[in-house]
Amino acid sequence: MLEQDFVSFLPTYAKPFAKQLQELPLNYEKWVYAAALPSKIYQGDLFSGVRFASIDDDGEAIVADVPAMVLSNTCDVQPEQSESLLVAPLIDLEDYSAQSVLAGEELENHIRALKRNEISQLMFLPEAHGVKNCFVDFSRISPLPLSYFYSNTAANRFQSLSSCGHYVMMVKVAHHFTRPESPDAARA
Amino acid sequence: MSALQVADLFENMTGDSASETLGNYLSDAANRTDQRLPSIVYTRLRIGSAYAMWPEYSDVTDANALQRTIHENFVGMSERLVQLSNAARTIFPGMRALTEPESANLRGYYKKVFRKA
Repeated sequence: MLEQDFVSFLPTYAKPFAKQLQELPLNYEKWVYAAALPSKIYQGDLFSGVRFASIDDDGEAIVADVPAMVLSNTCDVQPEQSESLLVAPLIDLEDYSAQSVLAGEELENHIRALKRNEISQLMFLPEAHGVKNCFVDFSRISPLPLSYFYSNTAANRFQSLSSCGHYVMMVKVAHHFTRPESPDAARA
Repeated sequence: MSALQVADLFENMTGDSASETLGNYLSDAANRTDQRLPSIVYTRLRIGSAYAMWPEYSDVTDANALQRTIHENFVGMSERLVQLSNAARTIFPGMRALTEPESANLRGYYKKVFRKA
């Protein structure tokens, strides 16, 4: 694709980062995170100890306390702006690899694709600025009451995304939810 | 690509008007089902030297439909999503879904992380 075509996709705030985006995954770790934590909470911020609730295969309620990324719009995560916010789990890549049932070349290919951000439902985040190699899973999004979040979790923020990092998050989320259905999808 | 660009592309490729083609499709569907379909069709409207998309309501029985449709936001949101998705495919050319073994691997990981409530 011509460079000009690529730049035309980008919103004004991301156009200065066209070169970095085209060079991905090179130097990803150098620009994906914010230079400093902003005072208010932003979409894409990372937190430790976030409570997730889900249902297992038997219909039983299950919970986990894991790191997470806030996916709700920045406006909606300000105190008393809404009832709840959406979070997606953040998986430590070293722990994930250690517990993997995939092995050998299959695991290597999986991790390589993940690190290149080629898997649509997963967003890889590189090791830098206190963040270990990890990935966000957009298929396990969970709501959390905003009041609970501010009482128990908001103080656990450990990283925020840069403008360009936030744009990468947006394109991955958008692609995950709007990618074309399989031609085999049978709709009435 | 904006809705206007899509309409232009369609007309350049087929020589037909995009809005007329869509209208004919809806009409055909109504003939086949013997029932007219409520629809909101956005057509191109020339304003001076500029163009805009304008909604035309057909067989929409809800009198307040116009008030509830936020045209600019609807079109803007669609365009933004398409642009973001296109940008994702451009930035990450090999984008794909998880394979079944990869999915099973991720499911297995969550089984170890989650506990009974």
